[in-house]
Amino acid sequence: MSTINPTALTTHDHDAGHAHVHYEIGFVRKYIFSTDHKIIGVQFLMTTLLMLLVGGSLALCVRWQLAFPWREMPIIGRLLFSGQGGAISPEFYTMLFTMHATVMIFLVIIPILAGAFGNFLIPLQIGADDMAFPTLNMLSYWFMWPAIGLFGASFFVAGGAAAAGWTSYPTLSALPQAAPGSGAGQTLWLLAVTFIGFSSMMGSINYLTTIINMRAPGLTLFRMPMTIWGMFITAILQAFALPVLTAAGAMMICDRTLGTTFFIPGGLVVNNADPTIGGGQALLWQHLFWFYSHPAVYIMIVPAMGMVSDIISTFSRKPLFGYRPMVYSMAAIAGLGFIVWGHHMFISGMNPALGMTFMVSTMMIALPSAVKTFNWLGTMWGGNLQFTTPMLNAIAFVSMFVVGGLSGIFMAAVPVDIYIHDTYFIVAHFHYVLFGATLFGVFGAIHFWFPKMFGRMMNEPLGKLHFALTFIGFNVTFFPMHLLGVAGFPRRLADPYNYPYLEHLLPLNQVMTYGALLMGFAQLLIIGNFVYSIFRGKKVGRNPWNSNTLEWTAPSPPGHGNFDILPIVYRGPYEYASPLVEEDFLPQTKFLPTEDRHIDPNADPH
Amino acid sequence: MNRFWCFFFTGAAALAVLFCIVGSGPTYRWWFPGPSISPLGAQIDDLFYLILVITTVTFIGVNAILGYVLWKYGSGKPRRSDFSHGSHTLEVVSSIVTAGVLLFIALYQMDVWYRYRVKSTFDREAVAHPVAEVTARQFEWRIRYPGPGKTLEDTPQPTDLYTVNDLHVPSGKPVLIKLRSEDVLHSFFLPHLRIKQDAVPGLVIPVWFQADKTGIYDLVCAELCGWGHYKMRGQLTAEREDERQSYLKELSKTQFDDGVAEKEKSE
Amino acid sequence: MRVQFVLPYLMVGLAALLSGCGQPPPATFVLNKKTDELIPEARATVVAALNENFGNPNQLVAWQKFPINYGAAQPESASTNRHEAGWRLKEGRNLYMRHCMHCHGVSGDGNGPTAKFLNPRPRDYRQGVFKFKSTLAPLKPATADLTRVLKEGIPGTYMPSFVLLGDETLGLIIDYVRWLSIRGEVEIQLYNEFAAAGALEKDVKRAVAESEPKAKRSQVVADLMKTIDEELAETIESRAADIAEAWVTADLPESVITPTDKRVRPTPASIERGRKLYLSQIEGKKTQCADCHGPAGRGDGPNTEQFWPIPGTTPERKYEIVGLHDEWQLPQKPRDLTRGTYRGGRRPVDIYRRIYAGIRGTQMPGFGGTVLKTDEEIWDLVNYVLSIPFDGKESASPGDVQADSKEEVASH
Repeated sequence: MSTINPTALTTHDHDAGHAHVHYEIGFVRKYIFSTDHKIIGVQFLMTTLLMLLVGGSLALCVRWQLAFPWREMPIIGRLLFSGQGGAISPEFYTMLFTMHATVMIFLVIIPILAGAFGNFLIPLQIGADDMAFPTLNMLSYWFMWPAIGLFGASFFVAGGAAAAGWTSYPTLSALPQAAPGSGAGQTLWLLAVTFIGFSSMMGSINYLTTIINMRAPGLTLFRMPMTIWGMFITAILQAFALPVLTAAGAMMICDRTLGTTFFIPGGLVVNNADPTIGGGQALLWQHLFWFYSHPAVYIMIVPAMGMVSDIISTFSRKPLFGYRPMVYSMAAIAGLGFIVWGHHMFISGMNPALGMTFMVSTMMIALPSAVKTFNWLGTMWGGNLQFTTPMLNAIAFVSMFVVGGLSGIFMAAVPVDIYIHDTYFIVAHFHYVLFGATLFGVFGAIHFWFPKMFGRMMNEPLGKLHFALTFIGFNVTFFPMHLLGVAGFPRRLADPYNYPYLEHLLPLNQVMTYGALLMGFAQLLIIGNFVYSIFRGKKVGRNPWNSNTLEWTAPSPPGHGNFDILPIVYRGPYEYASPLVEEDFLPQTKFLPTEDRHIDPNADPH
Repeated sequence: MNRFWCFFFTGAAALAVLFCIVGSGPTYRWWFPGPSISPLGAQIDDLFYLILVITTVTFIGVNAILGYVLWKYGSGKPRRSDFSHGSHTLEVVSSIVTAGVLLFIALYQMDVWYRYRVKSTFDREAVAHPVAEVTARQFEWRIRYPGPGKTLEDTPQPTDLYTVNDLHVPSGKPVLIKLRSEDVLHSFFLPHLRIKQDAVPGLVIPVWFQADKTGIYDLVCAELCGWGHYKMRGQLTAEREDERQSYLKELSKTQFDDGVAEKEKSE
Repeated sequence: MRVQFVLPYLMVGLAALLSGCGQPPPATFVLNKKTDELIPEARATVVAALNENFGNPNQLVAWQKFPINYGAAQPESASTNRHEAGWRLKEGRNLYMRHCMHCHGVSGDGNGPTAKFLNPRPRDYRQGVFKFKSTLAPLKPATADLTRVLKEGIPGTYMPSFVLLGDETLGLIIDYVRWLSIRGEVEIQLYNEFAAAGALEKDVKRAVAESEPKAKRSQVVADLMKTIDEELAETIESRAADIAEAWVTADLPESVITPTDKRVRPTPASIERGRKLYLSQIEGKKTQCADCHGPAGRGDGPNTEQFWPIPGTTPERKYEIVGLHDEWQLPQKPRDLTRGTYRGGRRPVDIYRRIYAGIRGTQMPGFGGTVLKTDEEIWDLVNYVLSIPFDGKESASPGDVQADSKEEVASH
């Protein structure tokens, strides 16, 4: 076997990668309806970042109303509610938070993790030239657009966008007369979610097949980077949970359009209409919805956990602490994720004995989360920390995940959940997990893999400034929500101060809104940095971070087909500071004739 | 510059703790709306504080470790990392400790949940004589009391008394209400009693609670029920049994008013 | 440093923020659609008169002519808001904008942003017509009636109960609602005056066409406006005086419908008499209840299956929606009496008043003193109506009445 040292190629011009493009394809096939996983990944990334802005703007509107209820809302108030002094209407508020959550969950968090980074990283990190099903991959991206179109259009139909919360609990969502947004807007919403479901399902099948079948020679399962593990487990979760949501959505569409009553009990009088015919059960939707949506919560964080593990190990210049426990804990989170959905329904009138079961399983899901935190800290312990922008974001991930994880314990305890359910405590919790953890992980990942995507670095000082401002803004916005929750401040109220016991919380809400505005405007920095760096960032070679995993042996950006040299894997992904070599990193593909395999028992178990 | 990030992260954690201490204090009262006035609520509070202590200790501990790591290993001085892939022993020990704590919390709380939700533990007297049927609708609480001396039936009776948004219950003893919804999901939330229960369309759900202190407490809708969700403000009036009886008598007088009696009085 | 390239983004963001700041777009009173039928000159006169006497939502004018407590200046008050006269009106407006405007609209035209989705539509106050009241048929509601509606809500509609706002707050809101109603009615009255004077577009056109010798439009309009302007001050004064008097009258004790006889005990016999009245089975007592409310009280009588003509249309046009319509020309269902939901209240006296005086603005006529001459007959009908949810077997009654009635039977 001939030995090739890919690291020697890092000095090559990145154009070397393009030498492998044998055939000519037109602009449309190359950049728009591309089947290249990298282009699709970047398409996903751009789209989701755009949607992040949309979702963020909606959130700022919500925050504005909470801080300055019934006062003129900037821009929106002038455009839509000028006759009444710019104060928004209450049903518009319900649409704002519904669509904020919908956009953030279905169009940002899920597709940015699986769609953008999953697509971009899976073939590169497992040493494949593309996904197993490139056309399916392309379709998975393009199925997102009908959903975006439908969500967008729903604002303009009679009654406006869906307004029953992203959870769309019937009968509010099932009866068109129950709310303005429950008219055509809700049907469009359900259709859009179905499209997102198709998109995700196509992605999942593709990721699973690719990861199982197309790993480079020598890349055993337990040599895969944590990112790949995260994507793998996510794909499994999605493949098994998603059909339930799709089915529930179809049932709801039938309820709304064909006159079935899966979720509608009889005898309800809504908006002075005739009593419902009924026979259905409103709780059924909650069970079906959360059977998908609780695993979806892990779909929204497990890939980020993987990416953060990669980043932390790289910038600690130290092997990941407890690789196998990390994998097992990820699998445990995913497995337990399927049997905890009931904890969203503790006070919904479920059988109390069932509540206890769900409570125990929910408590237990904290265990793998704790293991992960322990291991991230363990990775940094004894390392040589480099505070790059990706690393700072990754540390923020850990730090925020700790808060989100600990607040989760309160909810897992059913009696406490009786009190804090549907209050801002819950809002604080899931924003700490989904924004504090996942989104900081995503920001880290953007800065980390940007050189691989575009062959250029993002600006570091600007990245750090963006991080610091976002971190401060985030905590100012969301930390006080814990106290709001303890004060019994319910979610989704357009005018909470209608209740006398909440009046004294208005100043606190104003402070939080200022934090949100700071955070919102801080995002202009990353947009600026991102766009500028695509064209003007510092050019880099293959491995700017001196990292070990396979993608760094490909050119930056990799050409069609990714690898100019077929990668052969000799070890695990985290051999930093190995005593075998002089540098503090040891790429997976580097062949060491002198390697003594007994030094590292974890590297190759087979 | 490197130390900056150590201070940045630990500082944020320290500020968070400080914020909780100051914010929950008497100046700002960003905390529970007063001590629980129900025995069950007091138990919920106790459980909350127990978890708060456990999580705070964990939070401070984790952040202390994080701070130490960032300080010690992020100094920027050139060093070569320790080459370690982790420690099986540490992993197992930490997992067992965590699991132990979690299991403790899980088992410790069951009792409170059991008493809150499992019907066989409810007070028999309260179950036999529910004080009212509360029907949530967009966007108000319609309340139906049984007439004086009567028992609440599942269907409306000619003697029933009706009112809106103001639920009167006797204080100092367990009471049970029947909760239902006329249209969509609502949630019956008594923040001062730490009681919450969704009103599910199509179901009649018994909810019991006990207000030990007389007074007027907020009744909140805690589940999104449409555009006017925030309008669903109600109140719970806990009063002595005799006061409640005279309230019901007054209510009966108003409800069956034929417009003549008051005129006679004024003459 | 490469910071300069983010500056454009910051500028864009800042510009977006600033464009949202500055003077808020003021809330505005919208004109009645009818007023738009007037020629622009007359319309401008109406607008000017309204602005002068009522102001706009941001600058209210407290016209002292009306029986409304605008709030006298309280210079000693701790609240600085109360230092100026008219503070009650302002506070009323603030409360109205927070609690009521989304449905009833800034102008009280029942057309707030949420209104189009509600069934039934929120009340349009501008006609000064209110449905659920205790006063005699043609009168305005008493203040107590409005208070009661705010406190109890209107069951079966989206009008919720505001009882917890407290009497003082409700008083402020009610005075503002009354003020809005008066404002709307003044506008309608001015329209009627001007329309009668020939200030409608079609009348002016006809006048121009028929004029001998041929006059210019501007000439016709100038003449017309001269007449209108000459009488304007007097017109406004007299109309306002009428409206003010109507509101004063409504609050007089003698305006309230008060039964002279006590309610007849809801015995089976009384309920049966009521049932016969309901079904028009008693000679000379054609109540025709069942024509609208249906023989079983389900609100499905034959009148709900017809297409009704739109009043005041020549040539006559019919509503496109089957069934009855109210004065606001919106579809109106007769109450389904089996549900036990009573919008105007479930007290016997409430039902009595509905039967006695009808429901203003709807097809429900009053029977008091005409078809039903005695209180006893009305009470029988009340007892029957209240018994419909219980299959006509027993009537809503206090527990002790039931016991009393048994004694009554025994003593006979």
